[in-house]
Amino acid sequence: MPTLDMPLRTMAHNPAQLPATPPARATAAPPPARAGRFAPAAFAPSAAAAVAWAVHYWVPSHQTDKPTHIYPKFLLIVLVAGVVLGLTQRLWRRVKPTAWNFPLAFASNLLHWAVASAPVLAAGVLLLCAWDLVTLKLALVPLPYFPGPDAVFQTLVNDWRSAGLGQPGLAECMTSSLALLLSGYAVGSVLGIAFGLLIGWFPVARYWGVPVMKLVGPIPATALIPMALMLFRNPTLSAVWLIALAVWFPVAMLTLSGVMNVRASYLDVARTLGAGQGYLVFRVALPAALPNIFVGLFMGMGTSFLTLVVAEGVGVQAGLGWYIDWARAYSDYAKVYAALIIMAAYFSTIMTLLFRVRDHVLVWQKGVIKW
Amino acid sequence: MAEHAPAPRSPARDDASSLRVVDVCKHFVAPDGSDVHALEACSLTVAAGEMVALVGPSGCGKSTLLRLLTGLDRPTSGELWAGSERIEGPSAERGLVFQDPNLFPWLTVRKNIQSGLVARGVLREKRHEVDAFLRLVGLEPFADAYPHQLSGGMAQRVALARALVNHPRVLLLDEPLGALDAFTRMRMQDEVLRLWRARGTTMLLVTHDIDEAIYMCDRIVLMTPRPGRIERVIDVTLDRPRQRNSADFLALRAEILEELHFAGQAGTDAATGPQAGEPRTPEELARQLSLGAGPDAEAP
Amino acid sequence: MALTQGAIMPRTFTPIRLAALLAAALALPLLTSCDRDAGPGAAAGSNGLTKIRVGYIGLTCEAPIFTAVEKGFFKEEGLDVELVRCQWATYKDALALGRFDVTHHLVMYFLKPIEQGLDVKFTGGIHRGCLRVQAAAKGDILTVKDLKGKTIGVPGLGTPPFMFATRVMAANGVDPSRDVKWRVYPAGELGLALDRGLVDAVADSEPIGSLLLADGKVRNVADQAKDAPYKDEYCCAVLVNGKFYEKNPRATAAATRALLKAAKWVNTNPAAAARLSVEKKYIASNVNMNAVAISNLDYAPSIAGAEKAVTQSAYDMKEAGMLAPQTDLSALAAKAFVHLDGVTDEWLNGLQVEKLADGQLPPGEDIRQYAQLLLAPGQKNCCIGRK
Repeated sequence: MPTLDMPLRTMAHNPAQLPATPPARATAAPPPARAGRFAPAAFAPSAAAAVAWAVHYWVPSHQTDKPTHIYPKFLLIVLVAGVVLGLTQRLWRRVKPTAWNFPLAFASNLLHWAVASAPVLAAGVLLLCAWDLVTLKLALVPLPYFPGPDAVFQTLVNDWRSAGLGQPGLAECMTSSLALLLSGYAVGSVLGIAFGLLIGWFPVARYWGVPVMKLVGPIPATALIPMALMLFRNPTLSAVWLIALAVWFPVAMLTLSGVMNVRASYLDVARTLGAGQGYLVFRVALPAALPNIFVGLFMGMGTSFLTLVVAEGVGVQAGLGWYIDWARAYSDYAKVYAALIIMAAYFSTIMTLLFRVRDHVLVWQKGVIKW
Repeated sequence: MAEHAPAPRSPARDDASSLRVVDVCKHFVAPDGSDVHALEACSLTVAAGEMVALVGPSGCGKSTLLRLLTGLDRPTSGELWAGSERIEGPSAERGLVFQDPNLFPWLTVRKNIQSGLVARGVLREKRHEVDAFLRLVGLEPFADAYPHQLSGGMAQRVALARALVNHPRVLLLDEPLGALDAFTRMRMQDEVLRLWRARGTTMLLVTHDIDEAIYMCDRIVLMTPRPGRIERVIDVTLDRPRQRNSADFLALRAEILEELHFAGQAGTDAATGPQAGEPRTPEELARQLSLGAGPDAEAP
Repeated sequence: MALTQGAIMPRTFTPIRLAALLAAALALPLLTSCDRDAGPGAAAGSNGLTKIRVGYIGLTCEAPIFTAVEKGFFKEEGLDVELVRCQWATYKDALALGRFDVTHHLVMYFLKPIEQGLDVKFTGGIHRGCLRVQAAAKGDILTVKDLKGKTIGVPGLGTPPFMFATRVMAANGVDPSRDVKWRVYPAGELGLALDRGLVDAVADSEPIGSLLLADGKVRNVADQAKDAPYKDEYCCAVLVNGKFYEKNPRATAAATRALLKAAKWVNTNPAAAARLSVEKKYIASNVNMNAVAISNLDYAPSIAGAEKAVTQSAYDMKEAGMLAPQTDLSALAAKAFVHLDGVTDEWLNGLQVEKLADGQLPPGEDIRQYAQLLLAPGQKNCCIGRK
């Protein structure tokens, strides 16, 4: 009697005839390293920095007669670095980082990216120049609301260690806000996914849970401050709670939608494979809902930033939101913009990381559906 | 060379591998509110190790009957038995393969195949069998590919392997080859036969392709619509391997076509009169059943 | 909600968009901060009166504004007033950007912004004292020196209560940057924070200070209205939008005179002023409580006093490190304070206001008696609202 091991005959009689598509590892390796052409565009940031510096030096200032010195120094650094980068551009290639070459690989990749993005960086520098013109030089917009870039750069340097009066400086505010943001986000996401799974799977839970979600979710954080103070003695915990609540709502909503849209045939097949409730929920419904869950996670990241400023108004000792409130009380908008720039940099980095995570987890999605 | 039938097995196992449908009816309410009699008074027995086909035009209830046998649906009245146990719900003893492979897109081919083992919690003991199944369906080089990288035929093979990994007593196949092109379909028919011979699983195959039914099965159950019912059961006594163009094959085919045509017509005249698009001749029926230009002209 | 698997979400949350979104979120309150944004003021109306927009928040100490409107002092000066109600959070921005033209408000609130370039000017002093440092009534903080090593709640770093507390501490040998911990809570929640033990003391302005006292929760550690040398310093002054002043110096002077006269009236008839504020629905409060609160503020208008307040506060703030070290104090004072024609202390001294028979507080009333009254069961009080 033929045994189980008898292989089925396929049209290919030997491996050479197998279909051409290799089962490629879904994480694409970086494109093969090749030396770029010598592109003059790599010098664009230096050219832009030169223009900006010239404008700053020669155009008379109208907004105030005491501009600061950090900004022109920064421009000179960009100029010199840009020239060096342009001259060495052919050295930098994309290298796959491994355990032993990580610092070198990271540096090479970063510089390669800088060369490739030179036009964008140049545009950024020209934007600084335009800002300088509109505010400090031509005073087209009024103080105190629109200080020039020199004031903002000076603030970043001055306030790094301490913002005055023995209070924490930007460095401490940055770490404090990051810790708060990440803990609030983590708590809110986990609870949101759990809640969404629960009400997505059990009709009874959905009956009670959806009204709760609709009532609680849209409440703005400012209205919840007294409750936060009542619930938690520790101001950090109240702040984390406020952020977690803001994140919970979109994540729960989209997890719910993801779970309810799982293809019934997946669940049917799993049941005929002998799956119990646990397998169906955690190994079929949850993976199938992951694309929607990631949409929720991105939305939650946005709302957590918006809530940060409010959450830091309940007794925390440091933080970017706290710093912004103080700066607004003084009408010192240079500080406000400095803090906003840092928040934007955070947001950009965290979003990039989140996209990377998503790319890794959702590696199974067809290229055409990717967002 | 005649292939031999599956070797006889112990009676206890025989019992569990057999299926019995006892006077089953299934009604449901259509979206427009009308009552649909998907199945009416169906009775059928499938012996252990048999390969049986359910054949009929659309709306005859064959897929519904299959679904009731998997346990994913309950009948309105009547009973379904797998051996000595009533069918109350889905079970790993009755595997299912759809027309759409329905592979879990977030798992690789290997992980799809072993998902039955994971679902039952026996992965650690039986992990080595997954490699055997990969070899069986000829997809070892693709073990780490994702479903979106596979062609239709490959995906369907993975679905078959996945359904078989739990060594089910019964395998239910709902038009598994319908989405494939003609050449792949013929190859896959051979492969399914090979699997069947190797393992002796009872197989129940739903198809609208009469040629496929005759080529593969021991018995063919003819079903007709409105209401869905079993018209007749035909034993196929041709020797295996069957020749698609042999005289016996073609005669049987013609007989079945006649049967389905007249039964359908009788049912139609009795109930509502001829409908637009209803087949009036065996040739029209053949076209409806996607047989293409059949070799009727050459039948003796 | 049928977001299918793989829903498309464009990558719109780039950092520039986020920064813009955040800036807009911060600015949105400004856009929605005032009830009506009529056209620019000081056009001559059809009845020969000059149009002017006066801003208010709805606080107890804004009684002179309500009085000036209700008693026709603005009309006397030839002004057609339009009241614009705004929110505290964006009040200074609303004034600087021209949502309204004139008001009176806390001196310390505006000094640092003026140093930063905010275009507003002080023209005359309205009242003395509305800032306090308070500690829990059952606690052990009695004097400013007891604040060493404690935690203090403020409505914000850089707000007038914070500045007052800093000045008081610095004057008493307590280093505000090292010897105390500052915590920020919204003004309305300071009492709650104190209750929960999150802070040991609070610094606040009217009406929060009076509310907490009426609740019996706090005792005063420092009171700008009563403690020397602050009791002679002006807490609130008349403020005008810089551009409006440049274009309409006469209307500015007229408005200042009207408000100063109203301040004098309020000082003479505090109960009547309280009644007026509540009955005409400018503020939501209890008349008696309002009267007591108003009488605790010293509404003795003065020009010299306001100028002194500006220079003294600026000096203290610079000493405490709140103003930039390179700021020239006399230049700042000159920028901040303007002397207007016809608005002088001589004029104020010669000013007569009516004295209403029922306009004063009965003698012997003080806030504790009213606290008893308010805490009695069955007494409705729309300010406290908790009993």
